Amino acid sequence: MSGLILGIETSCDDTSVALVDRTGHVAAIRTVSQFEIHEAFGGVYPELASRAHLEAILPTVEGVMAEASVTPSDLTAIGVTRGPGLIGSLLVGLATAEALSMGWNVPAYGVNHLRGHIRSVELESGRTEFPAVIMLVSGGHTLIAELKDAWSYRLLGTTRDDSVGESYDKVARMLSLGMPGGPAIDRAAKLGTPVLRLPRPMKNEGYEFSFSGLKSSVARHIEQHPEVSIEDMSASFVAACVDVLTAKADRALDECKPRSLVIVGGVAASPQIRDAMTEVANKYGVELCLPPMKWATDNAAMIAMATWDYVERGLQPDLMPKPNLSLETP
Amino acid sequence: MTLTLLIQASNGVPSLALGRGDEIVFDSAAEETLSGSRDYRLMLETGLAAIGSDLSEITLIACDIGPGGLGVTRTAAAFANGLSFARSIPVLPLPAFELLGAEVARDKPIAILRRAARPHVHFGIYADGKLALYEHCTEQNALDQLSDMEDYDLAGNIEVAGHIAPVTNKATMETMLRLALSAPTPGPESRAWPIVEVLE
Ligand SMILES: [Zn+2]
Repeated sequence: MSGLILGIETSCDDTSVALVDRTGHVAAIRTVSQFEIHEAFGGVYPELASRAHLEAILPTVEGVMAEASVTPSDLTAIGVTRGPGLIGSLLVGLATAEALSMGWNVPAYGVNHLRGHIRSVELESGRTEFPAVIMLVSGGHTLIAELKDAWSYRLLGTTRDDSVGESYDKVARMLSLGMPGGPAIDRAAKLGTPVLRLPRPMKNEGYEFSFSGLKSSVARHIEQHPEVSIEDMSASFVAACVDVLTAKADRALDECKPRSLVIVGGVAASPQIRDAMTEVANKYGVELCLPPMKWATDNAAMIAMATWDYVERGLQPDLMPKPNLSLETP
Repeated sequence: MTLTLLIQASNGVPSLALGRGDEIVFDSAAEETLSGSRDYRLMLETGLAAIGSDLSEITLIACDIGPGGLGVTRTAAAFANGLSFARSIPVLPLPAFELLGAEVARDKPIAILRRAARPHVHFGIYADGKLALYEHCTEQNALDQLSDMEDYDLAGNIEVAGHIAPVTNKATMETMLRLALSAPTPGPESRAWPIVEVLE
């Protein structure tokens, strides 16, 4: 099957559009960040996100089509995120895709954003060896799953409260380290020593995660010891996160006996997490797959990549928004 | 003959119509199979099939831009804009209060009130064939302004104590088509941008 898929991602606070071929080559991608719009609110403001998507989406589509010198007749399909995500943001992407699909006579598929993250590993780099264990760690998600092949997933566990990225951001704010919190905490952590005993929530229990207790414990500690070193606090927090994440990865590799361990999502940028996961993968002799950072955060190339699976499996296009879509549902 | 696509959603119930010349030839609100549908593509395909036409015949898209339901209005605008972009059909944005004003217009001014996030409302006065005032303000502020007016008709979805109930909260597609055809033709870059609530 030749041609390109136009991917559209509007599940949260970035408007992203990309053109991707079957091999994972990205012909063009443009992402309009809403960071400045939401910065003052300390989190994504859903109504403003939806407004900004509406303004940005068509110029972004026009931009990638022009950049790659592509016309609608070059498109095999349109793939658009249908969930999980913010309903107002999803609706803008879905309604736009539906209109383009009708206007250009190209089929449009509603795509599971989580499947996009998983397929991000295939973008412009090596293939995943199946079966695989995947860990998705970002501001929006924290989950671990077993991939039997490129399509069949078994969710092992997800977070009961905050995502790991969310807790990084919240702790960064408590320590006045600024946004985005992840890289700031990682930098501070490198200069400190993990001397503070912080809890490792659910470390020894199955595959579920919980990060809100860890975050509260950091808040309590700062309140009781305002003189605490920011570097030591950061190092202790990162050590606790890394401990929990690697314990879950270790358990999954032991149980599932995969050929590769895939780490995706924005938090996969953390050098501490990368080092720790390398160790776990080496222990079991499995290949560690880390996508390049530009594909680790939310982007439309991963949505376009995932859409190829829907096209090839002959799935019925479904453009109904599903804000709480789970990993196992296409 | 021209075919005009009309989309209204800001009253909370998405509906779509087709006008050939100055006559409505399809209205999704009259189709039982489309009752409760929020799928503009399905509505449009059903309409085009019903009148034996296709997209190439559409020369204008008129889209209600609210104020009103945020999600439905934005979805309608996204669909209208997307279709406009894909087929190079101009989009004419039509404010809901102009539609309601033209719908109800008789010999009195029309006060229009629509719910927004409490304690705010959308408030408009339509008089002498045009929208003379539009504000996103507190309900109390709107009621205070209304108490100064001698006599008026009421439209929208908010009752005013001591006044007869709102005449309607939705313009007919006939009214929308009349306004669309009498407006200057928009340029190819024209898009529908919903009238949104001012965030405090
Ligand atoms: Zn994501």
